[in-house]
Amino acid sequence: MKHAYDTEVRQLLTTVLQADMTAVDAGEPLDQYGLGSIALALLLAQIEDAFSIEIDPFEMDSANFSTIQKITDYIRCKKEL
Amino acid sequence: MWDIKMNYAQYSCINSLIAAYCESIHRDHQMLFSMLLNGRYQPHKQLVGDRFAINDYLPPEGLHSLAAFSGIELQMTHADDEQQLKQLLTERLQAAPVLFSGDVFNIPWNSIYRQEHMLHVLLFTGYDEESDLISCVDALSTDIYHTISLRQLVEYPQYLMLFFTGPSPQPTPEQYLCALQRNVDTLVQSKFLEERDRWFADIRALTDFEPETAGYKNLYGVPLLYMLKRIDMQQISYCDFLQYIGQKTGLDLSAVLESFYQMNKRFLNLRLYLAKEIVSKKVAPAGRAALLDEISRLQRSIVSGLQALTKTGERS
Repeated sequence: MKHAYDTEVRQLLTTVLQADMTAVDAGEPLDQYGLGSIALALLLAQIEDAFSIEIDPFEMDSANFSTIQKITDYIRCKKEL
Repeated sequence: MWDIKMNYAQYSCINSLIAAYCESIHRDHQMLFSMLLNGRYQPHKQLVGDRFAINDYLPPEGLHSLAAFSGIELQMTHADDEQQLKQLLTERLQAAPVLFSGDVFNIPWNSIYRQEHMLHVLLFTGYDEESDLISCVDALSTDIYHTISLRQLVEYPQYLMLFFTGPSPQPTPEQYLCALQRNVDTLVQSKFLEERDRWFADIRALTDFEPETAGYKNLYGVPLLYMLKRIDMQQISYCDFLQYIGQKTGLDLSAVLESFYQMNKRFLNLRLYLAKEIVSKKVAPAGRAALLDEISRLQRSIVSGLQALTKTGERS
């Protein structure tokens, strides 16, 4: 089953990484697709804009955003707050 | 040819190569980091990223400790011509790998090959006179041994750092404790905390990243992010030194190390937060200030913890 925000997150990742991310397994580490610290910074900025959330500075950690699953979980938690 | 294992990607290029070298000859490298936690505020520099200077490139006190505690001395020598370099390599590589520092302009596997001049470090592991090829390890690409011709290398200025390994010293726990005490005294006398706090005040006050990013092709080159990356490597290396001192002396450094790991994590948060501010072109000083407050609190707790421990010298 697809998680909420899955499609939107994949679209953002496709833009940021300039690679088709639609079929990537949600649990697969994104660093192998080029999600380094700069791409991650760009992704976080776009997540804040796209989902109207603010990422806590103390949660700015690559471990929290290392897979599509973790990113969608994070957004869901923020939206449910 | 020397077989080198690269297990220290968390250190700076030069420190990772020295650590790999030490490992290859079964000596400890951690005392090299004994004075690595240092830094000086430079208010006259234009860019905030340049306003903090750290001495993380072969600090003399670290080299002195490496010699005293691990029996490894490092001597630097210029090697400006082909014949001289050939002779040095042939002689020295029989005894140990050789650390090379020079211009990367002619190093084919480097991303800025024949584009830019930049100082970089390699560890030479072998030299074949017949083919004129040097085998080497590059800390930035550790997957394979690289080869480069000696003729190609000497086109640009360079020097060699030669390791000399003497008998293995057997320092006592008290000597390790003294080394830590000296280090903590230096940390306090150099007003490390105050110097960092002055720099942090500048980071808090940033309202515009334009000067910092101007002229840089990508964010990896932005001075502020680069300095934070160097501090990250500096602190990780220093933690390894503290852990090592704990093992050698029985001193319980667990609380100090825990604060250190927390602080390292906050520095990573800060680097990513700043990168996000830069790429989004949205200045958000509140989050930056919250992280810097926490870093400031943690570094005070680290220094006071170290002071208390070295005064009492408590063993676990």
